[in-house]
Amino acid sequence: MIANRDDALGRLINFLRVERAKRGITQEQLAELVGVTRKTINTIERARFIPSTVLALRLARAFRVRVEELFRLEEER
Amino acid sequence: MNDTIPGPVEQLDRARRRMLLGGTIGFAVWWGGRIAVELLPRAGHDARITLPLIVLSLAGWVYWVIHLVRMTLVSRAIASDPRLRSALNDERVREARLKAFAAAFWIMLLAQAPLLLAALFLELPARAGGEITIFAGVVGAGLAFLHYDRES
Repeated sequence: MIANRDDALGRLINFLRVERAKRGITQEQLAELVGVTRKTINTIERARFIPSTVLALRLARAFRVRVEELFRLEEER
Repeated sequence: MNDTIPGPVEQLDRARRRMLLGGTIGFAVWWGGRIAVELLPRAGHDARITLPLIVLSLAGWVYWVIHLVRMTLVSRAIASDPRLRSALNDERVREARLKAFAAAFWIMLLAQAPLLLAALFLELPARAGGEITIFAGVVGAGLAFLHYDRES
């Protein structure tokens, strides 16, 4: 029995905070780079908001990494 | 790892939230007071209760207008800058707005239930029914957006 869609697809994990820390940039600086608010970056990092494909790609481009290095489904670990 | 002085996007985001909260509270006091003033005399209450309610409702109206004017001015400032406009209307905000409107729909619908039930036993003025629905929709939408837009 599938409890909810998240269980079927796996929980989305992100490494935004890790990548930010590597580069020493703040949430607000990252938000400015990708054209969103700091609150949006914070809610993504805390897994309270799932970004769209476009925003995920923008974030990956901002960090110069592949999207898969920023976002991962838990079941893929 | 936070800047000590927030940038314009952050400041406007916070200001917008404050103004929306203030506007919602002001509207709730104003409109709620109006509804109470209309319904209480029918329940036999006299001016000793309705007069303070009128004053309170008026204060709510003033508070609502102040926040409405401020929000209009801030919205114009945002609209004039494409970068600000885009950031402050990002996908998370758009999602929160959609969820808020959906929540307000259900709140308005649920507000009808006690009205319909009360109408079986009482003679309710049609205007009060309309005003209660508007109250539920506006306050519900405002509070719902603040809920979905919150950070924690």
